[in-house]
Amino acid sequence: MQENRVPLAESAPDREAASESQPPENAVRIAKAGFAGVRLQGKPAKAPGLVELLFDSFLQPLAQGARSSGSEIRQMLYRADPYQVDVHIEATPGANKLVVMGQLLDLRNPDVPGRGVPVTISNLRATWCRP
Amino acid sequence: MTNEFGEFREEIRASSDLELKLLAEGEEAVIISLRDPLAQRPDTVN
Repeated sequence: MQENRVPLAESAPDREAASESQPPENAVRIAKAGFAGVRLQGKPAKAPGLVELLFDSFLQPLAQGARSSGSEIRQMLYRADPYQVDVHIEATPGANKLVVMGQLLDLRNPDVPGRGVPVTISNLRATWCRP
Repeated sequence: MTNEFGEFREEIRASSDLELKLLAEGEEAVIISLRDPLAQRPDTVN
């Protein structure tokens, strides 16, 4: 029995049929958008231990016309599960010191502040911590 | 240690390799690298 095959490259009707079977591009886009906010079941939103910078005052644009701004104060907001940490750092005028202030929010229990959490500030040579 | 409002405050010597460590009970320590927090911002002109 003889097979009568037509090469795909030469089969124009097949190509047309294939393109007709594809959904319209706008329908695909709408469908993808519908899944954009859906997290796969059992898959964590992000790797544990990841620290995410949500806000940094140094990354905000300077006021119009400003040529220079004193870098005396910086405010940052981090998300480091299970906490959200608001950090405010201020230089002490006339001294080589910084005041580091902050507030913790426990995202597991957002109605209650993150009280009683040991906080340590350190560099490679020294550690400062409040008893 | 954070107070009843979850706040902390410390005065430290300025340094270029600062780290903030949170030690929650039963959790792994969270370490946030602050580096040199008041180093010049990238868009300033002197």
